[in-house]
Amino acid sequence: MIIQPNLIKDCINRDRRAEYALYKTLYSYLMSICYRYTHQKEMAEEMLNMGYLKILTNLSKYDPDLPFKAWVRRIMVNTLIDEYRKNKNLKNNISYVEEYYDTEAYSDTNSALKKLNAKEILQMIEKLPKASGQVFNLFAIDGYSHKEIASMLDISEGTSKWHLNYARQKLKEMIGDTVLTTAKAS
Amino acid sequence: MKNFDNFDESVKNKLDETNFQFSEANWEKMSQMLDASRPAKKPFGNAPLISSIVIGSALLVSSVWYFTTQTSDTKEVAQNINTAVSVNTINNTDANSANTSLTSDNSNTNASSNNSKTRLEVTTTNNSNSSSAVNERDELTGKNETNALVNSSSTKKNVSSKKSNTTPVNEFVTSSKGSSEVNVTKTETSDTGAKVMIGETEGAYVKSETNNSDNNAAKTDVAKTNNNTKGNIKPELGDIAQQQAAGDDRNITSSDPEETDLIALPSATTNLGKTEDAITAANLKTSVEEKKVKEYVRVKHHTVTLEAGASNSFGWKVNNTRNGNNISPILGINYLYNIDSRSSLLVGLQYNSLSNLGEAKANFSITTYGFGVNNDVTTYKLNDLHFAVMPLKFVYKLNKNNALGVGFNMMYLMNTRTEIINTTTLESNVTTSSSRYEYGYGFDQLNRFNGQLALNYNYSISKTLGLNLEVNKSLGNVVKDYKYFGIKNQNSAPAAVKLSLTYTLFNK
Repeated sequence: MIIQPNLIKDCINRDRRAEYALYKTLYSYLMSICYRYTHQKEMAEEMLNMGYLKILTNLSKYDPDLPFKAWVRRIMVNTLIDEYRKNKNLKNNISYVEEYYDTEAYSDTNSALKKLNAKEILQMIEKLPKASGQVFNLFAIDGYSHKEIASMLDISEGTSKWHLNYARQKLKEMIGDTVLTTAKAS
Repeated sequence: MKNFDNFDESVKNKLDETNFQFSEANWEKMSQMLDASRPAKKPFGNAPLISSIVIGSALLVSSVWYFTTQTSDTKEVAQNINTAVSVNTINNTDANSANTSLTSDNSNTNASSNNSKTRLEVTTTNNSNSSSAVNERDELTGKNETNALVNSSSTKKNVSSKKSNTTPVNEFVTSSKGSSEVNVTKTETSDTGAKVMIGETEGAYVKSETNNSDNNAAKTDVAKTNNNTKGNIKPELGDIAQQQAAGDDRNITSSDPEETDLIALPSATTNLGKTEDAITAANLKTSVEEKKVKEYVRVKHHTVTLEAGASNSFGWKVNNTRNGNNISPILGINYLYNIDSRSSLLVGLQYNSLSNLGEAKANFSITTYGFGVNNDVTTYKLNDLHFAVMPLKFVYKLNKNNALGVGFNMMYLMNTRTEIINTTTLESNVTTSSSRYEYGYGFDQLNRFNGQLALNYNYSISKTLGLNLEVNKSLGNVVKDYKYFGIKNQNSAPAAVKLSLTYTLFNK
């Protein structure tokens, strides 16, 4: 993805052609983020537009010294989380669980993961419980800390960690099952 | 923990491979959201265009309204006519001269001169004997009085009485040595310089004098002119006929001048009084005709014309290529306020366009890294610029058919038409291309307002048709930001030649 410097400037100047070009440039990237959080194409598109509007609105505040992609990702994720928080009913569903780390199992999983494609991974994340999926997205994919996640989702850091490990565990199981099924089929 | 990190990284890398096909439909939604969120994107929106149209329309409507409601021509007369009143004075030496009366239809006079600053006083002298001077004075009075000018060969005094056929009033004319005089006092109007304004009558009044050597006759000739007679001053034909039937041998001629720009007057002549021994009608007519008749040009102050033609723009050079050189249609409406017979001010509203902006194109390339590398290039190419033009000019008529104008054309960029070409090259070197046209792009890179200095020559082919040749030069650049198109900023102020036909819708 190549973002021309002039493109950002023109977007700040509200040049619709530039806005269109930037939208097209970012579309796939932002859509993949949105889809990870929403698991529905229509919802993801809606969220993408909301996020893109925020991106354009705040574009004048963008510091060119920072990576544009990371800045865009942060705005998009914040948008998704804001929306998520509006609709969440997490507190009733989440109970604090002690951290659980199964460090042994992941070596094999990492090699198995290479045999899968993005679509299959997305489907697996989609199958995770919603809160766990969000925490996994935020922590593992989008790079937020547990402290930030706790603040964003209005949960404790411990709960965030639990969701993360729960998500990892579930993903590991699903990856194993998928690889096994594929191997059997072949 | 490292295993976890690797796991997370692996998942992340896998997810980065995700490729979502761009959705134009979603962009449409996005575009609507952007529009909705930016009511103030264009602070003035189309306000300049709308206000131009409103002002232009208001100008036209008010002009039409003005013409249709204007019922008096006195304004024109006041401004343009130097009119003389003719008084035919016959000196009668006959002590028994006949009574003389002026038979202007007084019953109609009050209805006249609604707007004029006019008063016509007509005084006739009724001589019953050589020493008497009985005056009859008719007043034709407008709303506003002006100074009365009394022409008389003898004593001049003001008479304050109203009309009366028989009763002598304050002495007006004192005849001397048995002469009787008929005095027609004419009025002078106004600060505008018109000599005579009689009700709604305009025209030249010719003063003539006839010396009647016949002592037995008293004759009064009043030559007067009506252009737009409305029964105010001009003797009614019916009255005249009655007078003739009654044996009154007054000579009466009447004619209405044609309504032309050049109007020669008089139009009506009335000879009153006994004539058998006096001047014959022919003589009287001759006396009138021999007088110098003033001609004047009646200026029609308001002219509205339609204009249609073509403009050839010479464009400007960009990268050794000429841009903005094209022939485009011109369509518009003009309003001329004719200050006088030669000078006019012109304001109008016209449409013009500029094409062939080949170098004004911008490329946006997007490379998508998915399962295959897609290189997507979108090119925005400005094609046409549509302008509303408001000419403001001073026009000077060299003669009847030729006029020169100089002024300024204010230009407002109403809209643009852009060709959007989308070319996608896949990893397999398969290239697909599509193009479409859209309006409204590129305003930020173009000057919305511009101006032109204009010189034009107009030749009147006929009363309603004219040929207009204009040379103009833009004062500002058409393209404000060439850097946007990857070109060094440069002059983009074209010169153009415009040839058009004008059709006069009305001229009043």
